[in-house]
Amino acid sequence: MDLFWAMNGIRDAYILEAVPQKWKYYENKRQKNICKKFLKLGFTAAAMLIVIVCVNIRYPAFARNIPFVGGIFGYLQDSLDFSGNFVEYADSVGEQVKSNGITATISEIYCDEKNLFVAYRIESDKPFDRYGKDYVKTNMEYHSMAAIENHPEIKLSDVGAGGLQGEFVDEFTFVGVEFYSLYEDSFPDSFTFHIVISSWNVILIDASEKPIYGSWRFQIPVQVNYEDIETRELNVVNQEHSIDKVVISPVMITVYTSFPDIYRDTVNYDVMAFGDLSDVDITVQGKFDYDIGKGFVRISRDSVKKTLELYVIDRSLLPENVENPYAREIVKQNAIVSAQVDMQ
Amino acid sequence: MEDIHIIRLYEERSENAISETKIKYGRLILALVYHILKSRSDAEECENDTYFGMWNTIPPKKPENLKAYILKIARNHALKRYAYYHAEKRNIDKNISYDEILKEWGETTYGCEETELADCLNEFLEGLSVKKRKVFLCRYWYFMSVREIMAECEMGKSQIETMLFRIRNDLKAILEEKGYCQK
Repeated sequence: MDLFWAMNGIRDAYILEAVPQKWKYYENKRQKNICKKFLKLGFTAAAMLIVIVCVNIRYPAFARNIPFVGGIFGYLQDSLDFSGNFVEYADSVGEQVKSNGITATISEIYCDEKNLFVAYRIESDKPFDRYGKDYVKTNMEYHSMAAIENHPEIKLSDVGAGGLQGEFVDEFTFVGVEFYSLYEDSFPDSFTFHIVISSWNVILIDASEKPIYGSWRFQIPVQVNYEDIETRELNVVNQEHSIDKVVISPVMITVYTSFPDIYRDTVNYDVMAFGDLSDVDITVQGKFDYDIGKGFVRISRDSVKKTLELYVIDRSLLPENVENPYAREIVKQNAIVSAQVDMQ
Repeated sequence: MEDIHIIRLYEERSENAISETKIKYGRLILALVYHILKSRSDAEECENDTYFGMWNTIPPKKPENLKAYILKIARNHALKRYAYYHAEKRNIDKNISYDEILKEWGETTYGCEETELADCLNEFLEGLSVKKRKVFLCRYWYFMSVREIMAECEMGKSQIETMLFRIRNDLKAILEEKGYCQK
């Protein structure tokens, strides 16, 4: 038995390296389809991208000056956790700040009233792999303070699980997207987005930290884009649990729920969602406030086409000894309250 | 929420620390402990124990990698719970896969401290290819079945069984060489 206990001393990097693929879904529920973007862009854009990719590989330093087709949102929008049609709704910004060898650019921005999506381009004078050859290629961490004008007391919540989500387009350049929210509050019609970033951090596989310190300060005027945003009041109630409403934007579906004060000492309350494109729970992120008995979950708009199924569950009531207690049918049979939303 | 912010919530003794941990890692913890205990209710209790373990140890600890730290705590709680059932002959039938895994190692006892054994394991794992290391950890750290590893690593059953057999033998040889276990 002591060999199994000794395995607790195995290096973090080896443990993380071996996390089973299907369990990775349990952590952040990401579903990526990087190839989709090439199909959507059509022949001309695809050909241009191929040229860019080739140049990126062969001449990385030169490629840094080539703009992305359709901007960063266009480049990343189908591979993000919240994939969707950002390009049609985002505004170009192009604000740039350089500090300590790192040039940070806010290239585009989109606010759908509930969320603020910001596209960043981070360029380093020296290759990022000088910090270590093995690093996460899809995220870059950063430390920051973000707020909006007129509400300095409200700190924006950066919602991503691992900093910016995106990719290294070459050894000098990372492009990524972060989204910020005011939790259940809405952004005002127009506001100034303030952010002070104090460090950037490549996520090294060996879990060590080598942040690049500096000061990158931005003040970006933002106008909420209300186009194609719809709120559906559901108010389905059972046993004091309710699914209150669903807000559908071009990139995100937010489901608001209420629940009684019986979960405070447990972690059993959960909201699960299923679409028509797969049989797995499609919620990406959420928050439950046990003090007020309210919460929300977020779903990528692209993960459902026709019908969205919503289920509120008490995890302690799910059956034992089934292969997957979170399978759609099991969840459906044991949901406290459920709702269907026609997305067409 | 980023790990560093979750750690800060623990340091501030905010109750949100547990809910944020649950949101981000709850299902991952459950998947790991369920593999060991094979009981939904035990796995959930173990998941809750993990959150309390986090609450009780941060601070003073400030883990460099929160995910690995949580997985280690969860695995510890699951192993303790398993030992409890095993010692008292309670509910043993639910732990078949773990018993199978234990049998693969035989009745070997190790005459050294856990930390020495862990150092030796790390040294051994460093010398393995990424694929072999992954297969080894999937089986003996994450307690996955051979069938699950087949899907995970896109390998055949016999390939995996042979690979595990050779890794076990190589590791045993090193442990014997260091005098940590008897032949």
